[in-house]
Amino acid sequence: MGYREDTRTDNEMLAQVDNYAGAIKSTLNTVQGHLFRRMSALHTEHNRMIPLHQLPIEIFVQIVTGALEPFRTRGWSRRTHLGRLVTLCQVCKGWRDVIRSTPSLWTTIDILDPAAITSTAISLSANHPLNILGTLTPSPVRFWGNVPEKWSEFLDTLITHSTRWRSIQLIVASSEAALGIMTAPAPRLQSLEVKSSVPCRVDIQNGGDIFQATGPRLRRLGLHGVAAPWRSWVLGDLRYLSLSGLGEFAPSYEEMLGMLR
Amino acid sequence: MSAAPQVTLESSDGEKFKVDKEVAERSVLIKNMIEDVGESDNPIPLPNVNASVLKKVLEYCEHHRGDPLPAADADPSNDDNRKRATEISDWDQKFIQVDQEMLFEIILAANYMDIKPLLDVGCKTVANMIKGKTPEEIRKLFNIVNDFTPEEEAQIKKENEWAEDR
Repeated sequence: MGYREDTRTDNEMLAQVDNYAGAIKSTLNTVQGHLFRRMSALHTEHNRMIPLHQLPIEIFVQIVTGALEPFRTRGWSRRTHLGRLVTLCQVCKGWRDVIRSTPSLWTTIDILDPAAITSTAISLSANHPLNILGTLTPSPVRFWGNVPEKWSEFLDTLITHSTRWRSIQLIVASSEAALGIMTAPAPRLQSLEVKSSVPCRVDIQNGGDIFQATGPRLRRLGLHGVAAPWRSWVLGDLRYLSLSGLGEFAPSYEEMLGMLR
Repeated sequence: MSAAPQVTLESSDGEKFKVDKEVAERSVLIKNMIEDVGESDNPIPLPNVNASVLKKVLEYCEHHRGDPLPAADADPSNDDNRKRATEISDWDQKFIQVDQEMLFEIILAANYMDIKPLLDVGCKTVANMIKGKTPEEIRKLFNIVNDFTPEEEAQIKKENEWAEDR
């Protein structure tokens, strides 16, 4: 009898100790969270005072824009534009806030960027014109290994925003991909460079024109292994033209002159 | 042969600098002031620039006195303009080799005095200091403290893992 009572008392005491420990732990977590936030606020205050942060925001943005250029260190150059940008976002809250609230910094999108960051960039870039890159670097094997689903996902996302395209530099693996790009309306497009691993020709059915005849702002055209309707109205005011790998689909001399008139 | 016309500039700490008008007019601010007020013997006050910084800015203006003025509508998407935007000449590189405090003062002065080429040189110099560095290296360089809470930092690192392993 006495033994049972002792056991019950011990168990109750242990439960009580557990409760106390839980309460202390919870209080400590609250205090720790409060301290971390307080420390963070103090550090933010310190950061506001440093000389670099005395510069006007537009100058800071000019500096960040310059810092996004490729650099001789391999790691930096192998990152995509958005990869470098998110690296800079990690410096401190001030940098993160300014960078995230500057649409012009988020306008260069690469096929190597994950879908989530592509969506973030499309959203943060507001309505600014977009530059699209889809190069084989850094690793063709890695890139081509992902092609089918990644390409179509990337293309779908891009085509939704085709009216914001300013420049496109892509390597495509099929005429469907080239056609997908060149049939979307792109009234702001100034520069188009498409290379196809398989020679293909873009034919627009029913008398339509490429880019739904929006523009023409296209000033720079580079097509490698991709033939276009050379008499297109959109191609009628180029300043730069580079063509290769077209074989029988190459434009005639007159058609070339028509594009560069 | 008559001497080149000169103007006097007065720094925030009261020091006066007599310089050729052509040199002073590298600053769009001063050029506009001279045009608005007309030629005068009175010094042109520059209340936002102290003597040591103004001396440095005038050294830049003197060296570049004959350079063509930058076009206001230069297209940054043009390859040549983009190349120019990332290059710094040897003389400018030497000129801008100053401590950080002076570097930022020069940038602020160039912005205030509206000297775009000097502002560009300053910005490019800071951009080059940042390029290729990790967030931690950048913090160390500019005396920035990591002000993310551990939770925020863990979240940011998780979001940005993809950018690191390329």
